[in-house]
Amino acid sequence: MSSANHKGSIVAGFLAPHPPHLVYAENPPQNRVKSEGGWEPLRWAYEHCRESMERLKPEVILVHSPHWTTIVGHHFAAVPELSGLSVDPIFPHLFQYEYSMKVDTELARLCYEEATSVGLNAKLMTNPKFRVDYGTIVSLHLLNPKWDIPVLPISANNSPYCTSLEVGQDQMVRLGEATRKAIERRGVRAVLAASNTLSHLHFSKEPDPPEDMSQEHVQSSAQYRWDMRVIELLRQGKIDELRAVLPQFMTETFAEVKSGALMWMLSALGFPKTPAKLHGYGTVIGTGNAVMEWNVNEEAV
Amino acid sequence: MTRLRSVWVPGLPHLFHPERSNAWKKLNESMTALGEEIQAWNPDLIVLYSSQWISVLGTSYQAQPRPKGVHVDENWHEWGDLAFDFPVDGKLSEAIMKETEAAGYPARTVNYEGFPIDTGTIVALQFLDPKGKVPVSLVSSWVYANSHSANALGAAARRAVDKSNQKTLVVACSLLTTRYFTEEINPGEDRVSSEIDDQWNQRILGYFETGALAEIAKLAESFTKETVTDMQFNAFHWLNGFWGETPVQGRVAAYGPLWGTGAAVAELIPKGD
Repeated sequence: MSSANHKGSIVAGFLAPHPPHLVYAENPPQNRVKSEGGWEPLRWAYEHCRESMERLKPEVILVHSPHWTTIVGHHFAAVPELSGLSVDPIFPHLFQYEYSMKVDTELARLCYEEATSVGLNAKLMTNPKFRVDYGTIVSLHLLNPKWDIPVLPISANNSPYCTSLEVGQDQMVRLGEATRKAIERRGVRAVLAASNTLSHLHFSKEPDPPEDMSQEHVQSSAQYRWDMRVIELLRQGKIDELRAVLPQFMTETFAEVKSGALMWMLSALGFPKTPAKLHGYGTVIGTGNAVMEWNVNEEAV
Repeated sequence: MTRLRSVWVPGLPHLFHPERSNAWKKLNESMTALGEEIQAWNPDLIVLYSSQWISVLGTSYQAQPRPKGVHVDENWHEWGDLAFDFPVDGKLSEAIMKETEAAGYPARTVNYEGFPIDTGTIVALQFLDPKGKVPVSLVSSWVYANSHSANALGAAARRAVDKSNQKTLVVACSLLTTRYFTEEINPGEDRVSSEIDDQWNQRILGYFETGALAEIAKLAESFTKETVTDMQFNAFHWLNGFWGETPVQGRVAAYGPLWGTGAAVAELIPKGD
């Protein structure tokens, strides 16, 4: 790990959606359930991310997941090693994953300090028996299946839902800024993973088997059009326009980005006007998933 | 002899920390007393609907024979581990699932080692059946349910319970309003965070006391619109569907705040029992 005397930086950010179907389809040894594949275009998109990870050589991956929901503040995992069995409560028949991850607890502490210093409620999660949520695990697995890079799971504070969208998004902006400062103080090369699907309305009935791709399609044309509009804005680096339409997008498509991961990441990246790279788009049980990458600091590579 | 009995209880870990707050202590004592009554009543089965077990692909029913393990709450993880170990009546879960499907709603049983058991279920069972003796059928809170479908899901559970012909405790584990304080508070100063929520909760509980479920059902839409209710108040609709045409009488043992939310310990039993 780099010395804390060296200023750290964010070398890339990824929009890294977490349908457990993608891990199920890959058949890694950690998942107890086996499949006949499926959702290849999205999994191939993640292969590009994995190639980037090899090239970027990050020292830590920070992941913000909507499936670790917290009511009081923003929480940072601060246990050196977290391991166990994670069964997805929604798709338990697809995802029963034995995970083991090393956590950058020092970075967690710095994130906590920076978050509280900008007036956010924050907390360190220090309970070693804590079960890591499937959103965190899926995004991390798809980016780095070797699990050989320390991570930092960050909770999704419930403020966008229990207060207002404006308050919630403002919190994520401040959390992103605090995260960036913490990374700089830690002196590490960091990758951010925003564990979010785009449009999130989905079918309530699964095909049999779930990987029957003849049944996979977008939930609605309106939802598809919204996803394309958002992706295109990101591809063109039109972040201000994106921020202006996000509330409507969230309302009309039940978009998971409402939980804050995308805003957190864009804020930490300094709301980059550089085009994001789209590695792939695909639907999973009708939801819209885009795998995207921001290389904002290529010179650091 | 009464064959059916139902309770409405909260399921937050604060109930295990009565020393921190008089309000929490009051709820804890009521839960403890209610648990002792239930244990003396000695049910054959428990059917437990938890607003904290969220499902998406229809309603899920737990069928793993004996869930056992340690759960750490997502938010209040520093308050320690929540151990659980209880038997499940897989046959009843299967029967309720089939009744649910027959009523035209999606449903499934779940039987997977390591399946996450939610905080609400663990907290409620710790008070109602602390020794983990009574077989339980756990019912999820379907995120797409509305008042009508939640009512139908409760009715489906009732049909399966009636066919089982066993002495059954029905548990609706839910808060009333859920406007949490979103910052650290002094637990000793906990209160229902919104005056409107507080007034509504007490109004609803007034009808609970008389067993006037139809009146509550009439008010439910306004209650949900004017406050922030727990999962659209679907635990009530499910419980109301369970009782259906059976006249009930009620008792409210306690009402108070849990980190700004409105929590009640209440009971509904058939009229005359």
